Amino acid sequence: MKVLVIGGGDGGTIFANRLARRAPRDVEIEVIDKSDVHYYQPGFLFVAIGESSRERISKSRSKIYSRGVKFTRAEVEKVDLDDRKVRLKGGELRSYDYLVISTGSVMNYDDIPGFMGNVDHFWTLEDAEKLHRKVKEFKGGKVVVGIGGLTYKCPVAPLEIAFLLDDYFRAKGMREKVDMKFISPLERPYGPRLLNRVIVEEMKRRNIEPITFFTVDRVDGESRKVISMEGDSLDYDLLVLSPPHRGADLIFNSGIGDDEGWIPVDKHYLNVKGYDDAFAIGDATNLPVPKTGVIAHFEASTVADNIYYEINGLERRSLFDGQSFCIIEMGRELASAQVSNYYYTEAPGLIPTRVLHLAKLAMNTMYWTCILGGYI
Amino acid sequence: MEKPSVTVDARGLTCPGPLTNLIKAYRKANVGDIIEVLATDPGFKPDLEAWARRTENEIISVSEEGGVIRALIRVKKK
Amino acid sequence: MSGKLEEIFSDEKNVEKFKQFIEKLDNLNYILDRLELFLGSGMIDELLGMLFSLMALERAFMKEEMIEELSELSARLTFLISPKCMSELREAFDSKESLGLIGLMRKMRDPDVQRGLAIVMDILKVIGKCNKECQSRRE
Repeated sequence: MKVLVIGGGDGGTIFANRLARRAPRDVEIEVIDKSDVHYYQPGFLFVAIGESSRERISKSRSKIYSRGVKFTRAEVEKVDLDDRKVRLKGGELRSYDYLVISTGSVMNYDDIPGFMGNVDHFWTLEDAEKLHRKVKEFKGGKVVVGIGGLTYKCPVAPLEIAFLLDDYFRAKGMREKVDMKFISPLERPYGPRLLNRVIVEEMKRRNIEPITFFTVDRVDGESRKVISMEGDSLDYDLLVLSPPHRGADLIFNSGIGDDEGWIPVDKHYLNVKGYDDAFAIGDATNLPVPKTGVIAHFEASTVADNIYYEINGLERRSLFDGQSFCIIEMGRELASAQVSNYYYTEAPGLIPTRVLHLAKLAMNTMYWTCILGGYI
Repeated sequence: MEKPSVTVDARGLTCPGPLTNLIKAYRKANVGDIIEVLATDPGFKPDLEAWARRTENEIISVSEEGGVIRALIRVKKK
Repeated sequence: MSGKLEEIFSDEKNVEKFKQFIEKLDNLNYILDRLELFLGSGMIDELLGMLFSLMALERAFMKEEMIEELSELSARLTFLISPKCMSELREAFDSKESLGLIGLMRKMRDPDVQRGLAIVMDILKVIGKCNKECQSRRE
């Protein structure tokens, strides 16, 4: 019995390790990824403000898999779900009994002309490091932070960088030299209404001006202006926006995703629609859930458990309920959170407290062993 | 009954999903196109009204049936 | 003003709702009394945050597999709550006995001690074995 996992990020790794813990010896689990370095992505935000570093959030993929999981460094070009075959770059073919696609999401800079080279962000480690250098040298001026690409992973990240940059400049005693604005395409700074109330209050307290109905259309690097579809423009000295995202190339090559490259799956069992033995988890799906590590984690657990049950002749009984937790770091040891699942009609508005910040800290520390190891 | 050029199926998405998907479709649309949005989130109606007002696009109709809001929007300005 | 009230109460449904509200007033007052005690201390926000964390813990980690594992372990620890075992445990803590090498040899001839030693050794083995994997992840 062969279980193939494409993508060794959070979803793929947690799935493989969780299944390996209970699966019988004759089940072969292989994870294929083109990179042999695994990153703790929530750490990118802290690299951007200088509170973490590359070494602290990376680990070789040879170390993170349990016994019983084989890691192969290779690039997958195409999957054939009907034939149950996967083609690697170079032509090699792999067949499978179960397939889990956890290819995540990639940057789609072309979606916003002028984005690349003019907009800073922290959605890749290199860009986070670059942003940190700029932040360190920043002497004052107009800082524009907010939502650039409309589809992006980690919905709360733009809020976090806004609050943490505010904190950073305050700590350096230069906050009055910085004019901070937060741009959002909606008529309020942030989506979920009750949570938005908390966000608005906090932005007011910190003198961050929300600019609403601002859907980024393009960026003019020469005149340092970001221009919206609604016809407005803002000057910037430092521009930090979420980049547009799309699905991995492999999804497009295989014709299994929608026009943005996200794969349609069953919302509870996560199997690719039309297939019983192929699943997709994490950013790669088109489910109406935020693209976050927590979602990938829970989805991975659901699929690992269900495959385990099926291998043992039982019915699949684990259901994914869309549960997501996003802690919103706000600096000063305070955090709020965005919480949602399939059954909520409204996300709650959590007042920033120390408890939530500490919960996030605990999670950071438990990440490599308990979470990636598939134990919880 | 006007026929939509594109349908945005935002059923099951909570705030601000439906509006975000509408904006995405709007970005790709041309003046004169008709965008149909299906949503189950009750917050979509006020979001849509505020957005249409600001962007000067026309809401042709908004109806609700079986918990699903169906809105037709004509792209008038880009 | 009375015109506005008339308008509200001319709707039977509103009258019903208002009546229900009045019926709950005693309970609501009790709750408000209690909450008032926390106002100004910032504790309500903290308590809500803690409740949220508890809820998050339950949602995220109380999976069937984990409960099964924890229950299976607890099932084997019931000796800890048997009155006889508890009183013998107390006696052990109260005893003034000290063991040298000879005393140790003597105790080890007791089959119960032998069984206990085997368990403790096996526990040590599990700790040693699992720690190796844990360490390699943490490097």
